[in-house]
Amino acid sequence: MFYCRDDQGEYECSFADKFVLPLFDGLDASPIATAVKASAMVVPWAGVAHLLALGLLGGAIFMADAKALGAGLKSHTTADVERNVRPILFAAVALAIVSGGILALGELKKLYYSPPYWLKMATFASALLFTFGVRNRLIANAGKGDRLTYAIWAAIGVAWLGVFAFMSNWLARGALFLLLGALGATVWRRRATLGPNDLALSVAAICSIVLWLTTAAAGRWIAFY
Amino acid sequence: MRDFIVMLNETPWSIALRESLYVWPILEATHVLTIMLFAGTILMVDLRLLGLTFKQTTVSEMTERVLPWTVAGFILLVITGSVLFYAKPLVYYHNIFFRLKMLFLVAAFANILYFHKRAQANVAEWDLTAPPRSARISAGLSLAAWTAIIVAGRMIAYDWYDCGKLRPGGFLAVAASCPAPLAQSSEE
Repeated sequence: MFYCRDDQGEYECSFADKFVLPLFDGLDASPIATAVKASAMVVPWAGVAHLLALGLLGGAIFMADAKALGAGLKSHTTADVERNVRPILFAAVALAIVSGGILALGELKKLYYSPPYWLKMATFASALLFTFGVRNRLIANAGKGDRLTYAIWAAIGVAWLGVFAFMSNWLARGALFLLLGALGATVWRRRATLGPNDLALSVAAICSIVLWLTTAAAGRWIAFY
Repeated sequence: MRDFIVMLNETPWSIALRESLYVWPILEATHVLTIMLFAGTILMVDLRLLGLTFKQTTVSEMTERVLPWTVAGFILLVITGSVLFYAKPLVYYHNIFFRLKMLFLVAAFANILYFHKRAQANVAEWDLTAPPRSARISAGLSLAAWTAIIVAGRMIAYDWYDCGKLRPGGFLAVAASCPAPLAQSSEE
């Protein structure tokens, strides 16, 4: 337990209230946040840019993951496909972060108290780490992963399932298990033709799709919550 | 037309949909997330036609292996979009951005027709090389049209140009088919 202070004196508060809330409050009072909130047009256009980034991101993620799952382009290896979409993925992530940052500056006080926002940040961080730390490393080695790759994978799995179990409601969990089931069934159906390396790639593709979709869904849910 | 929309607006299912706690957000979220599949895959095909990515892939492989996913995404977008429209038909009917979006959709479709009937007709001649001007222009138009559709779609949520805020008889009020001010109370 921590102690926070206001003009009435000290009171018991959480770690986040003591150390994270002041950051949000400080940022909210900054000139740039004030400017964003004062403008009627900045937030809507940042929302548009965020949505376009979602489209770019979806394409870049889908092309490589679909290929790893046996759909999409035929005459290429997954590594070829991933190389072709990598610049698009970088552009999408950069645009999403910049536009998302501007959107956040417009409603910091709401976001601090928004579970979907924190869920989104957690899945976004895991999705980024997973895509570059696990999936792309597997793809580059035709599905063969080293110990570090699997260690990152396990860490993300544990952390993310924990976050998901604690922070989301039955609706989100139901959707997650439906998605996992559908994708798992896809791999199961193809299991006869899959070697161990293809299997690792397929499962990584499933994780990538689920992580990015959860991030997008949680992001959309910020507005509904 | 408006009478039909008003009738649609008062059907029990329409009212239930727009007042629902979860169904409307789930439909809307599905609509938005499907952009990842639809816009993402059409973008890849357009970028290939423009010679910006997948340069070692034939155009016909892109259209045969990627476009079916685009179509699947589009079907999901039309289904969720139609149900969303049915939930608030009168609001969307008078929404200037919704009308713009439908216009851009028509333009996008005209471009698709042009591409498949004309630009793509001799694809065998340039399958692995740079597509001809007509195909590249079509790809550029496709990117522009779908971007415009996403922009207009996002702006539907804002009420800056709702009938109540427009000058009666003005250009925008006419473009949105706003009813005469007296009848406006039925809008709310």
